[in-house]
Amino acid sequence: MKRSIACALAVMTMASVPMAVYADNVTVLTTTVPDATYTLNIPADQEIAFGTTSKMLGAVTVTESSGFALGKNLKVTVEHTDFVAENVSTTIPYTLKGYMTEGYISPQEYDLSKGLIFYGRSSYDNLGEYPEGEDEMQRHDITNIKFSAKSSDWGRALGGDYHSEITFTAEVVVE
Amino acid sequence: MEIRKSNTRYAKIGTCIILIVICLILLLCKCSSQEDFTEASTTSQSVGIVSTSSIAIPGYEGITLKANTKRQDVCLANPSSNQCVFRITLCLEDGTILWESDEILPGEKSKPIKLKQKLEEGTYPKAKLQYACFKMNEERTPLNGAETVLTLRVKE
Repeated sequence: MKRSIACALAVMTMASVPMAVYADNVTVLTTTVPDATYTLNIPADQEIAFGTTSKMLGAVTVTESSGFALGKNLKVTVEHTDFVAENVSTTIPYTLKGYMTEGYISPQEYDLSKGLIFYGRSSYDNLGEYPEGEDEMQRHDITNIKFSAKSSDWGRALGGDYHSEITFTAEVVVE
Repeated sequence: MEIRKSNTRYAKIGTCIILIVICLILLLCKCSSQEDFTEASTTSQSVGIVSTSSIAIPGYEGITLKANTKRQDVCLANPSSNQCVFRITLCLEDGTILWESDEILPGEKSKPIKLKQKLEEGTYPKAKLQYACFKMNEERTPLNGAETVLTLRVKE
């Protein structure tokens, strides 16, 4: 019995020695990555005249950004409700698209359902140009948000004061 | 004859004094109007260009909150460049509302966040800050709004 206990103690002592040695060889590094910050600038509101089939609402831009880098970007999606009016049964649907003129011979329209991507640059700095080879449609310099509605939808709408809200959702994403 | 001479002298002195006083008053008036002009231009420079056509929404990749307490130290701001009122809501990914602000005027901050429920220590991804924006009129007409997706880091 005593021998068994002694052996067990010896084994336990031997087993603890390698672990102590292992702990001494481990170096733990810690770091804190700062959260990215930014200011998202969105169009405030617009008066849309009855029967308007196309109108520019304003640009979506990102300013005062920090903590972004190549591969760490900001994605902005755009959702909206149809025009509705209190106590009126009809609604007026419309679409929103990105509208770019800079750098193009003719204006380009961009499907906003993909989201707007504001790309981080190689320096840990502000958001900037898109990487070469990427889809040119996903640029940071969408110059405007284009409103489009059908005249037939305007025509069948009952009278009233309609309103609609556009919500812009921004999220930091990594490639 | 001497009395007349002294009267004339006093009259001249009095006239000079009156003229000096008038000049001083005019000088003071001119100086104060220049100060007003300088102050106005300084004020306009400090405010900068104010646009009523866009809204500036502050965004964060993450914010840190204290665990196991409703009272926090974090305040959220409405940029002074805005011409609209903010109402901000903080909610978890599943839609649970953690905090709703009072009206925040441009250039002002919210009161320190007081959560509706305590949070355990941990990381809560895809939380949302929902910004409802309103015109600064009596009706508080709704404007376009925004949401920013962020990570809540809850620590002791």
